[in-house]
Amino acid sequence: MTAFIQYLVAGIATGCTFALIATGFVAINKVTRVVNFAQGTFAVVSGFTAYSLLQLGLPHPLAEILAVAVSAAVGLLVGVVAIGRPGTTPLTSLVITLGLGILAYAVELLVWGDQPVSYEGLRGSWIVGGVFIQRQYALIVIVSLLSLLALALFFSRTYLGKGLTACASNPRAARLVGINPTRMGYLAFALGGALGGVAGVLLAPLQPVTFDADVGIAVSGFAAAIFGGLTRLSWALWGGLILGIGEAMVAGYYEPSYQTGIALAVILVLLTWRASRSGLEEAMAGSTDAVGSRTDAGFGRRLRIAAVVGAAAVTLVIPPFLDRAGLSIYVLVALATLVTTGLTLLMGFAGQVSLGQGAFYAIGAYTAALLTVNAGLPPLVGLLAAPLVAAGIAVLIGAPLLRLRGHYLAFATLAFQLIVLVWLAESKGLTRGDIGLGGIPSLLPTLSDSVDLDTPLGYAYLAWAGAAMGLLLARNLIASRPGRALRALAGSELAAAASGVPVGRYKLQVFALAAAYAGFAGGVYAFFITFISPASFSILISIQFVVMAVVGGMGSIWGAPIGAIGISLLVEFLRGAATGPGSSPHAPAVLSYGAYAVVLIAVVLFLPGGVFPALRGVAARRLAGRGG
Amino acid sequence: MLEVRDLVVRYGSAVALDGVSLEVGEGEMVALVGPNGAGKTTLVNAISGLLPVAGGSIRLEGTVAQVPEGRQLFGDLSVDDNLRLGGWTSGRRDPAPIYELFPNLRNLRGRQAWTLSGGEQQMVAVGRALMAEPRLLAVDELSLGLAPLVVEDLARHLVELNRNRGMAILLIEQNARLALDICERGYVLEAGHVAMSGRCDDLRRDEAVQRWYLGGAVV
Repeated sequence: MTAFIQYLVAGIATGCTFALIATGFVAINKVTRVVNFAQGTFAVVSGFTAYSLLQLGLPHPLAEILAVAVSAAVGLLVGVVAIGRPGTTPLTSLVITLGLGILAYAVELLVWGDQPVSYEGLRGSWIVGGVFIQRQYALIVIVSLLSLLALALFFSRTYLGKGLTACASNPRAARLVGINPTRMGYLAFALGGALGGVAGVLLAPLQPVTFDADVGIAVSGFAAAIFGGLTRLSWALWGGLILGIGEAMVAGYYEPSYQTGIALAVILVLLTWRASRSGLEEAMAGSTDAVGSRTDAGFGRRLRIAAVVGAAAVTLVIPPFLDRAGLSIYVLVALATLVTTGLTLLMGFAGQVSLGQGAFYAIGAYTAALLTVNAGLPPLVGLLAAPLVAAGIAVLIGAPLLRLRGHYLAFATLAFQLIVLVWLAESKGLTRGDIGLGGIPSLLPTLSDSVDLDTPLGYAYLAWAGAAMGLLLARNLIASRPGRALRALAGSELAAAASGVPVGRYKLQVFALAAAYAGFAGGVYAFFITFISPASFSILISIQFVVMAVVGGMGSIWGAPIGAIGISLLVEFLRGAATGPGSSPHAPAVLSYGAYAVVLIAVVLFLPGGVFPALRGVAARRLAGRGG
Repeated sequence: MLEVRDLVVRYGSAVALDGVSLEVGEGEMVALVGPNGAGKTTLVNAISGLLPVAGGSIRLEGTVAQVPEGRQLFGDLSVDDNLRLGGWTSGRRDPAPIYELFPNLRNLRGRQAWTLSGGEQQMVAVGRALMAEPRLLAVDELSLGLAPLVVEDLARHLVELNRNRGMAILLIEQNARLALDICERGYVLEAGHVAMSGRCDDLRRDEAVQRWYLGGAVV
């Protein structure tokens, strides 16, 4: 019983901080319709800032207050970049906030390094009936509730607060009475930053701050926020408390690393429930906004075939000239192309973002490895099972999420990947945990001493054959009848539904297909590398796939190879540049995070169609110029 | 007080308004009629500064406030808040004069706007526009989706506003009969240009107007 109350108290305290993060999500989403991925970043920034200010000798409340001010300013900055450009759609803004979150990694690594930092909060504790209650917990609860109360009063009692609500209620009318919705959006982002900041300074004494703590914080906060459907402020508190207590119980009685599982479970259960209640109603609200534009005209058919044949020929000719390291990159680029092709279908044609493609990659790799190493099945069976298992799991988690409008899938897949990573690390009997699985047999046979296919060269051809097949399949899919329906879906989900397109089912099928692509690539990866561990499948690779898809361009599947090749080469180049003599140990990470972020944001803002359509446009104009 | 000269507005490559000229004098009540897609709402939005102008000029003394098509209230805010937000730019915060004008609204002031009937919502929309203290009130589709008796009541309020307070009004209506009945002068907009203009009495008697807008061909 004492333990129970102890967990309860801890749960209420962390639940309050979730409520703060959730409220930030809701405030921003209500006013701007943007799901802000940088919400967890605000907490991390304020935690770090408060730590530094305290180190400089500032007294206690002052350092924290200044830190909250800093995160409010960061929130404002995120808002300006994310929604400042006229015509930015909510999905584009979501991708931008994701980019800014990665950019924050680079900055935080530069300033604070990769070691966790913490500072002392309120010291001491009370003992009530045998239960230790830390004073910091009490402080968290009081400050959180006061902040939420102040926010509620701001929204319901002040003229400015009413202006914010007016933008949420009817942006067109708001503009009509002279309210500038963009500026109100900035204000909402600043509020979100401040709320995240309050959570950050309160949490830092309990959970040391690391630069990548934002993901866990954001996932929990998002789960709390969807209790109120991302639009009701008052529900965020209850959502936060339920989630906080749930996580504390799981951590206390079961296994601390499964905490995020609670968040994912909450997301799935709540959304399933909402979907069953108001599927159509949700589908009627707003319109889909796929990032890319889908125009495939303006480039002669013959020329297109020539380009594809040329690219294939170059791909075939290159490998023999590469050394071992070069071939390894060559294989990985092919696998990235495959995953990115699936993601391009999902983002460009179903208007949904998945931040968990790395999880399906991992599932594919582990499926192949476990079936061959543990079960002793032939490698080919493992390879074929990899995409099937990935697709099956995608159907399970996608079914509730994809019946709803909005960008729930993005966070759910992020949470899903965290769970998969924890599960892989914890199921030591099956996967050998963090030690990793080795001794994965070869997929390609050694025919004789002179004809050995089990070489990097063999895998280079195998991987690119897989990528080519994946691209062809995607191309044919888009040209088919379901493909037309998908394109209609990207244009207007409501119109597609009205024309009899089974919107939810198609979205789910695309999600499953994208997972199958990732699963297949993961399978090949396992056989090629022969050793896999959870560390091979970090959140970063999922983000990398999103960057590749966005940069290449989502209007056409040919953007996928271009994005995959371009980003891979860029990262390799930066790795070379960062590991020179005298560079800091963080330099490679800082450079690659920074590069991902800058490339992603720049492309989304200035080449919204991606690099491939832009290149094609230039080529088409050249040709037209020559012809005329 | 409003002088529009050769106004051109485009949506991308489509020309919505092609050289429209129109005037509203001090304290005048002017009708703007025309079929769907003629550019009436585009014209009002351009006058309200919501759309970029591709050519021509808009000269306006004082401010204009718009009662938008479909009312466009802040549905989940109260009537009182809707009115108060109308004063965002003018700085006026007290909606009391609006309640004098529309006494019905006083009893509804705490209700969420979406719970009101169509006629009541239209009153709030007019009231919200008046909170901006405009010199010119642009009313877009006063009668849209409302019962005839309700429309009559609203029209009477507009006429009172015009007669008693000297408010200049530009009334956009598909119901041409109503607009031509209560206004002094009128413009007929067709396919992005002014097809006809003049005193409402004359327009009412015009054969083409009768045939196309007043159902004269049937009679």
